[in-house]
Amino acid sequence: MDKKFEGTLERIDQYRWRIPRSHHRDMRVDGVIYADDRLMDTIRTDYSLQQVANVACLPGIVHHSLAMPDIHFGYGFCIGGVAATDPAQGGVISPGGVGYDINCGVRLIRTNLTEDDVKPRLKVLIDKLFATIPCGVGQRGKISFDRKELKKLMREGSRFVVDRGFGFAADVEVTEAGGCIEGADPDLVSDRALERGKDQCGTLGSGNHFLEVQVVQAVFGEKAVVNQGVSTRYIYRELLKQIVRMFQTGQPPIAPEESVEIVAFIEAALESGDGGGRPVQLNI
Amino acid sequence: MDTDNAGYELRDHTADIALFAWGDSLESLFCAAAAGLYATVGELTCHSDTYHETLRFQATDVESLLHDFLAELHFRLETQDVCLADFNFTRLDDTILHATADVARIDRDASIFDHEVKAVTYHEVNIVRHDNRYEVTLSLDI
Repeated sequence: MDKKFEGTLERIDQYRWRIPRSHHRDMRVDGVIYADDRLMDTIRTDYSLQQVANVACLPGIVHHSLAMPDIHFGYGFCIGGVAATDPAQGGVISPGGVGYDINCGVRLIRTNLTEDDVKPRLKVLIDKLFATIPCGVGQRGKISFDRKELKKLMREGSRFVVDRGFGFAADVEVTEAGGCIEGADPDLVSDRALERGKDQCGTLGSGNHFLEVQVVQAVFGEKAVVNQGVSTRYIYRELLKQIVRMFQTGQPPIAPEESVEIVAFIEAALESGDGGGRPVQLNI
Repeated sequence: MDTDNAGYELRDHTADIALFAWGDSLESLFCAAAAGLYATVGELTCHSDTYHETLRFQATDVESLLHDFLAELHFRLETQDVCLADFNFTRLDDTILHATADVARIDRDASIFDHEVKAVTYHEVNIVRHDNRYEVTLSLDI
């Protein structure tokens, strides 16, 4: 795209820029671009800023038309463009915003393996994954589903795969969103799309698709208190490891004070459970 | 494919592939675009036995016609492992395409696949005519 953005670009701060809605009468909100000076020099060389302004015209758009660092010219939205629309305000779902690769996202599956388990065998693991999982251009899945099964797969996700004997139920429990999208309606997918997709099941795809082996080093969030270590899914195995280590080293895994607190908590939980969930007082 | 009369080039694109095609007629432009589509997928080797087939499309404008034509070729390639070639257009104007083509099965073992084309897009497609030369640039989503 040889055209360049000719409109107003205001600096908000060191890493943010604004295209004011006054740039075009159809803009409903401002455009906000996240970029440092060096990135902005590059961004200015294509038409992506105009696309940020274009997105700001979408019905029902909320707050701002956003652009993440390193945006570049895309299909309607710039690559790296973000917008939210409110249906109550006439908001639309924009195919240009969602992208042609609808649901081409990233899924995380957590195993019960630790870094100590994997690191010494990492190359073997990667070689095995590469040999087992069809990936790359022209590759097809080892299993092909008929149209009826394909729709069931699309609706149920990983659970369908497990029911067919291609996975473990325990895996689904640690798969994000249970490996499916709630409310998915495969009847809205065309026969042509189904025909194209049916041989792709179980493949990694090609292009920018990837599979990575990673280690969880820290967990953030409301319920996150563990900074690596114990896997709650396999609590008893982890507990056994801690006990063995204690006998080997003579060092308890937690301080005595914490032990007292844990016992008190368990007793309180049992008392509360016996009382139908009534609140109880911790005795520490 | 690169002659004075018709040809194609695969050009750099930010994230995908830009297919630039030209021809001295709409027919040769469409043929060149088809050749460019297949070239984007890779070096495809086909079996020698072929069969004849008729193609019919109707669209609102010539760009949509080209899109639908290429999208069908792409669909057949992906789902049936076939390439269409040696097009003989019996009618081709701004909204209607009638043609026959030879259909050949791809020899997957002998073919080299370079890109997985996800879609032939409508993005900024515009068939331009300069005197006796037609040109178009298409974005192929890979």
